[in-house]
Amino acid sequence: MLVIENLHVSVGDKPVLRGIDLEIAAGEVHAIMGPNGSGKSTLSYVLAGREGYEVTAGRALFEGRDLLAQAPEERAADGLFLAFQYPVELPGVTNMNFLKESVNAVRAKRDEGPLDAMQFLKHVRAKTSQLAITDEMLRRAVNVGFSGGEKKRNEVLQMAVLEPKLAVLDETDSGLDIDALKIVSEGVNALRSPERSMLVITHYQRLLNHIVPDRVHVLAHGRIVDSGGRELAEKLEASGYADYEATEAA
Amino acid sequence: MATSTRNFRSPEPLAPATAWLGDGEAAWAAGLRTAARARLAAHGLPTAKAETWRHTNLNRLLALAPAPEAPGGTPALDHAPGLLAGEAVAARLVFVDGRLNPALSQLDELPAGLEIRPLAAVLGDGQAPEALAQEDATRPFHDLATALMSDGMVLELSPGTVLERPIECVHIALADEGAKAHHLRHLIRLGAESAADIVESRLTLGTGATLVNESTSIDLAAGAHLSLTRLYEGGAEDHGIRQSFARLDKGARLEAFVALLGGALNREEIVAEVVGETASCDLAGVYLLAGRQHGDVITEVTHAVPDTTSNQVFKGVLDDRAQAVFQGRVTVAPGAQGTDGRQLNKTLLLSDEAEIDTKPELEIYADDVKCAHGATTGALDEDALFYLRARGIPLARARHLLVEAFLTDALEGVTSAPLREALAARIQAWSAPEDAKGEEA
Ligand SMILES: Nc1ncnc2c1ncn2[C@@H]1O[C@H](COP(=O)(O)OP(=O)(O)OP(=O)(O)O)[C@@H](O)[C@H]1O
Ligand SMILES: [Mg+2]
Repeated sequence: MLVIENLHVSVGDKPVLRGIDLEIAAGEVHAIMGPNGSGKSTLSYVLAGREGYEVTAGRALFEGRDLLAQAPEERAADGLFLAFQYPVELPGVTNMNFLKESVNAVRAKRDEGPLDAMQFLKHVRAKTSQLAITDEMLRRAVNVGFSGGEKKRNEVLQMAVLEPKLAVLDETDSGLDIDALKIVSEGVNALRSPERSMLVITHYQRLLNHIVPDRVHVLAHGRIVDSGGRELAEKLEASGYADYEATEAA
Repeated sequence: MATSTRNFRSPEPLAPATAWLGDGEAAWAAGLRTAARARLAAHGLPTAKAETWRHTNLNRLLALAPAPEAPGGTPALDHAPGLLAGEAVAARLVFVDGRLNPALSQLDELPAGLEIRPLAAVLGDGQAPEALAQEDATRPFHDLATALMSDGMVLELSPGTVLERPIECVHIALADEGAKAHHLRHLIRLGAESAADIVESRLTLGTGATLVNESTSIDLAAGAHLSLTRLYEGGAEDHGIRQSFARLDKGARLEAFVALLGGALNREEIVAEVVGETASCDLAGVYLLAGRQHGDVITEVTHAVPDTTSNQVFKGVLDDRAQAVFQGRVTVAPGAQGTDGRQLNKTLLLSDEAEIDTKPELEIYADDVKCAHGATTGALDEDALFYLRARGIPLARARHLLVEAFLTDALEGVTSAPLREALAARIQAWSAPEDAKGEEA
């Protein structure tokens, strides 16, 4: 599904990713953990195609295609989804319209016709009830005045509606209360399938109790410094990142 | 050709001799024209030294030297695509090349209490309407309109008459060859406690150069309510200059909305004197310009007496090398306590080369007032654009959505639903990217 090879990325003159190798097969869920500023969001933005990141070496393939050569909208249409760490507010654009525009844009790219109003509403309703999102939230402007947790749930709603092949979740658990964490995790788990892969960025092992990963990676100083099974997350929870800092200094 | 020094700019290019003007008119009409021409010759056209013309370049217009035309045959035109086309109206006035076209207009069976006459007919009368003699030494284009007026709308609504249907005015310029000018004066008088909706649209058919210069005098008696909507759609060689003078008596309400959607030079200047207590004046609008278009929105609202309100909201989107000017002044006269005057101007710049000069001003000579003004200018939010694209929405469509979002509340003040929809469709057509237009069709 996703193959990242020796990816180096700079922001301005500053190297942020310094040789990332990562392979996620179809149906797998991988987690990335790592200290603040280690480059996790940078990786997610580079995969989604945000401007301002210079790829100085390496490549990323999504279903065999050169991901980094594509515009952000092409990546999304091909089935890549990024749940933002900091969801953006869109004053004047209603949540409902936003969802409709994006679903129909993605469908158009795949040469599928737009959903009519009824079909669309049905599709969205099925997802909102699962995520405890009210109609009132759908009518409001995207993320404007949403609480931190509501914004994160809104990201998961977009993911559920778009049904991507590869979802990158950047700290979707941050800011969620205990109940919301459960709701969101269930929403994410509902999407798990043999055809769908996920890359879950988180600081907390707690999330990984709900969304059980196949692999856990530790990102520090722009490199993946350790990988393992889900037990790695538990170990990190106990010992922190001190070991990897030492590795880096050496 | 255009003589222009620092202090004086000759009106000659825009005011050639027109021996045919004034044929069959009353002596007072000739007197008005002569006096206006004399004032114009003395003051000249605005130079860059005039505060509200500083960023507005008249050179192109003066070089074109558009001239008024003697009345000719009836132009071949079989319909007038106004904003309310197809809607039931109280009256419809269609001006073609600056003259009322009776065949396209609908002026029979006017509701009781409504009187509408073409200015051309009024000029032959024994008596001059008082408002026609209105002078304004600081606005030379007003004198130009008086000196060269070909026609206009003279509307009078009797006290207590509340029109159920709107009055539509459509101004069409047929611009095939050469540079043509049309000068009009309109007089709108609403009696006490009367109410009217006037919906105006202006467009040009053809690609030649035009100047359409109009002055409108608006007199609202106590408790009168006028809603005035103006749409301007002009081509790359069209110049539209409009000055309106409104006077609001006790409890009167003026709600004006202007949409400037084009033109080489397009200027909307509104001067409102709020002279009756509890009167309110709402001015709002949008300017959406691209290419090398230039738009001016100039407002001057004076609160002369206590307890009056005014609210202004103008929003603009400028693309390419378009330029716009917003100058709004709210003056609160000494003793006008309890005034509530608000003013807001927001502009979205879609290109690095687009330019807005915005200057909201408050002049307050009373101490117990609530006044606020503000202006914002900015580009599209890059984070918002990326967010939309990351959800699969192509760049052009994403830009369009953000422009629409920016304008989303701009039509709030337009109360008539069909009118709001018609305006929304025009705005939508303006901001839709070429590739998205096909998708929506
Ligand atoms: N636009 C930018 N300009 C300057 N520095 C940047 C920019 N974007 C990222 N960086 C730097 O790159 C490094 C990695 O940032 P990134 O946001 O990827 O970290 P992270 O691992 O997601 O951290 P966190 O856990 O706090 O979310 C940080 O040192 C950050 O300051
Ligand atoms: Mg981050």
